[in-house]
Amino acid sequence: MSILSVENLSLKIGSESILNNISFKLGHGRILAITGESGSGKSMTALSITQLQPKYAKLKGKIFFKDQDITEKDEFELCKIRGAKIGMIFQEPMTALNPVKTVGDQISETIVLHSEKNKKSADTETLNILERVGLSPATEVIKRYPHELSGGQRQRVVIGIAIALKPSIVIADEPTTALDVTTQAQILALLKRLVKEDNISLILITHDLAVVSDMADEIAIMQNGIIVEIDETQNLFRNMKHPYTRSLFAASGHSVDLPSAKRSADLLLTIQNVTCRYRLARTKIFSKSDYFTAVSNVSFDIKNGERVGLVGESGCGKSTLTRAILGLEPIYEGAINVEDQDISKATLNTRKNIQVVFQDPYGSFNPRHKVSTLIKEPFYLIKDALEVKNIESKIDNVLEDVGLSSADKNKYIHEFSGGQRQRIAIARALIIKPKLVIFDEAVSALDVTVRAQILDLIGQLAVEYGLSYLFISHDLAVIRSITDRCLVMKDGKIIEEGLTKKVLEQPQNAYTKTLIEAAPKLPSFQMEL
Amino acid sequence: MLGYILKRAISLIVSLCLASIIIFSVVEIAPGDPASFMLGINAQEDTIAALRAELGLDQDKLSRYFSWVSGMIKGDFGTSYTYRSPVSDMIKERIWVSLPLALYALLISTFIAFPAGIYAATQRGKAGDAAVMGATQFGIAIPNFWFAMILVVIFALKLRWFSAGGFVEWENGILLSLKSLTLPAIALALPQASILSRVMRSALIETLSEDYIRTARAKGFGKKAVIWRHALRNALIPVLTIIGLQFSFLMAGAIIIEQVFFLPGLGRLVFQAITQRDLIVVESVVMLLVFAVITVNFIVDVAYAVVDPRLRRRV
Amino acid sequence: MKNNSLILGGLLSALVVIAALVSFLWVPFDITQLSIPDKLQTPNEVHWLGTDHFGRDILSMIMIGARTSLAVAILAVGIGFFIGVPLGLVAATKKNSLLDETIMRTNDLIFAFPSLVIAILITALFGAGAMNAIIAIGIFNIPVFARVSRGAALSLWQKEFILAARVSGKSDLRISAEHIFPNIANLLIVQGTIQFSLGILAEAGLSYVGLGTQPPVPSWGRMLADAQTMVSFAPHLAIIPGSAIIVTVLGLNLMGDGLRDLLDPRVRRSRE
Repeated sequence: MSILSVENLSLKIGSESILNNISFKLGHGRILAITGESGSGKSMTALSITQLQPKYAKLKGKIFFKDQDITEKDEFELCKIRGAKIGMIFQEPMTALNPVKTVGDQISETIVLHSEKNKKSADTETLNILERVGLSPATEVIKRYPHELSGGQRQRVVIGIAIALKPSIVIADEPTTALDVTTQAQILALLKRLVKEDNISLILITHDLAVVSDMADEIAIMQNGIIVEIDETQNLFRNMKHPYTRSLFAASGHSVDLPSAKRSADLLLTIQNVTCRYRLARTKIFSKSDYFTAVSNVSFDIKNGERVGLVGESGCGKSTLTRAILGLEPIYEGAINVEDQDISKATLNTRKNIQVVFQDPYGSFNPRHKVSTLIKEPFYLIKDALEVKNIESKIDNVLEDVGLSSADKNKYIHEFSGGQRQRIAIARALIIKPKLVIFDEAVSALDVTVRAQILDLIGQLAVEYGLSYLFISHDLAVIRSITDRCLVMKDGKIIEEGLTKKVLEQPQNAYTKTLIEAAPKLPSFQMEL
Repeated sequence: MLGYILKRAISLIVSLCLASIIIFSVVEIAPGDPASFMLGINAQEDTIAALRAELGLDQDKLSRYFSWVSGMIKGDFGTSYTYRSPVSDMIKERIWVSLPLALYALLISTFIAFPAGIYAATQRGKAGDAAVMGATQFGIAIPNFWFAMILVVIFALKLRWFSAGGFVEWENGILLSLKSLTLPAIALALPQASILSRVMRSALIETLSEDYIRTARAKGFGKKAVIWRHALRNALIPVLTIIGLQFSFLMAGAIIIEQVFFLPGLGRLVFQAITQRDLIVVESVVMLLVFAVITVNFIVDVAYAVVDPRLRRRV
Repeated sequence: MKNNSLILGGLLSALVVIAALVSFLWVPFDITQLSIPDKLQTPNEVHWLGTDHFGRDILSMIMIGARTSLAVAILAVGIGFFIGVPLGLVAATKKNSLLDETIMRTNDLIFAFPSLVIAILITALFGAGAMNAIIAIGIFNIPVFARVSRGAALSLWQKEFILAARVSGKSDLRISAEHIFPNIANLLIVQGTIQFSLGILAEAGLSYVGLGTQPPVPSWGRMLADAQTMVSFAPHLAIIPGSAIIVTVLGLNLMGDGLRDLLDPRVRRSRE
């Protein structure tokens, strides 16, 4: 007997079909994962279950919760169900909580809303809940405001709100996507424990197959608003009937065929004992400013032709270090040299040897410029008239190198998808033929299948253009597939370095070990052909 | 929190000092000499010189500035050139008209704007919203002195519910005084209420699109409950700024309305003083108005910290 | 619904602008000629909007008055825009620096002054007339444009495409011109229409108390002042100029609203 049965659910916005005849069942106490890439409709499915889809969306089909059709219920009855019988957890912990109310109040008000309890007894209950989700000491945390907690802690509060009234179902929509790998592991473990303790049926929505293989009893794969395959976890991975499932799996575990690089002993980039710090906002009017050391005594080299990775979670200092290498951040101590030229005294001539590809395909481009204007911007660094000749043909060439066409140069950036934009970003980085490219989480915002393509592209172009690169990522799988050597960064320091394979298989440092263990792994099943 | 308030207080004092310098300078560089203005074209040289000495105009600018400022701190706003009476007395009388008028108009404005703005936000995209938006568009476009004229024609001249102007002193009865301020307050309030409604509406719409509102609905709160419990408090933040600004504007913006209704307020005082070149009065009243604005801003800043806990830690 | 704002607003504004422009070439009657026998006529076939207490044709006065109001308001916006926007952009390039603090504190200081009182003060002390009215109103437009451009610029500086421009070696000033300004232009246009409409109201107020445009040049504000004593028996004297002001301000504000919705990508998405 299933606790939730979705039958022929279809959702349209305007003329666009977001969900197309979705059907699935959720068993008591089971964990169902809905997996897919962006645009697959998985979030909309989640919202539809509690009828929280946008007002302008037209919904058809039936959703049976405990044998009652939710689509037939009025708002008053739905409010009784939401929060009490079906709890929800959303993706962005940073904005999911009301900034002007304490976290304790936000949990307690749910209890007061759905039970006969008054505020005082609700608060006692809240203390219990805080302890259960691992926020200690509960008596302290209950008085805190959201901005005083970290992302992981806020997500624990959100989980607390969702389970406060011991619901039958909890729907978690990408609950860990915005969190660090280590925090992600903790939050997933917490969810797993809680659903077992309270016998909750969980719908886990995520794009990450690895996360899902570990947690779910059943998996539904969604593509373009359709469930292409749904099966018990083990069976799904063993059989993988649908081609999309197979490509998803292949992309998730994709490893780039890195051609061997031509390396030389020439030093391209040297970083010597670099420390960067910046002033913190004062909290007391008469105290001296405190400094936060973002990068602490970091030293490493990159030789010509090397492909180096930099691993770290958020806050480890990698962004600051990147900006320092690009000459955009003042260095407090130490020196950064590019081909023996000090970066702080660098001329435009030196700067042209380093380029960068950023993470956000949507924010990296001026929406008002044509693609050709965007791509040729680095030419501002080139003062040699000879090189500036034939810019148009250079634009055409680089566009084709990254897998686009020269006709694209007259379009505007909003006409391209995320993956295509990153190709344009790579084109922009490569057009002046730099020697070193910094990829700053360049594939982190991309869907899994697109990610695999872009990584392949990077590997291939690096050899064609004779590039060295520094690839920064928090994702160990990416680092493994695209770098020869890597460094691990934590709290502004490099705590381990070595050949990528060695660091990831035989880590020496405790933190590196934690990182590796926390990273969810895909099951290594042999696909039945 | 203390650091936050302290920093704002210092800012307040610095602003006041700068403002006083600016006001003094502007009035000083104005062409024309008050003494010769008062005595007329045919006055003799020595009469003018004597008057200047009497008014203290022969001293150098710097000492005049300092005596003005030190006087103000003590509550002495100097002596009016035209009437030869203490400016502080004149201000004291007038402020009992202008301040209540401003508060009255602010009250009317808020009482109309809050419900209108909230209603429009909840009815977004529907007829109710369009009606409010349309009405407020009109309200903003109507010059308040023109509206005042229309009100006088209809309610004073034709219907005789109110008098066409003049102020009934407070001693003669609070209700009568308020009655004499009613038409002016409505005239002042109309554009302000229109602006405030729109601000309330957009602040609420903005707040309602935030993620934590989605969380609140997922918890089981109905749409109305969500607005009262979660959205309004956050939406208040930009609304508070506007109310603060409006109060300042009402104190000063009444200058024309007071002319229309013959109200003996600060606006009328400063207007007459300008035309009579009574610079001491002008300087002091403008300084007072600026002081009111800066102080109200300070209060609003402190109110922010009360409403939004994120500001309490920072300085 | 939003596109209606733009169309309606555009039409109303265009009406006023056209009336003003036409007035340079032709007006129905010569308003420098007083014609007492024709005084205080209500709208009829000869004088479409009637005549005033001196027998002057009101329609002609409205057309010329449109000229004055629009000119004063737009020049005042020009002052605010051409001084305020560069200040705001420069302040945004170095957030929290001494320069930024100075500009913002000065802004706040100007905001603290009651604009109407100061405008009256300036025009009274330095001479009544259109020129001083423009300056007096314009001064108060500067902090508005500075604040709006700084705010918008600050959020753009965080974006990665700005970082990319810096990596290409471009200076802050060049980035402000090439990248920041084009992306805030829409916001500034909308703000411009708002300040324009406020300028119309301010000019009307100043003229009403006799400090704006001086006779014999007609202005809507002064037409209202003249009408005040006669409004009980000749209401058209007050209603017509008042309506002219309302139509102009309404038109500009509606246009601003329509433009804002047209140019805002977020609103566009939710309509699709």
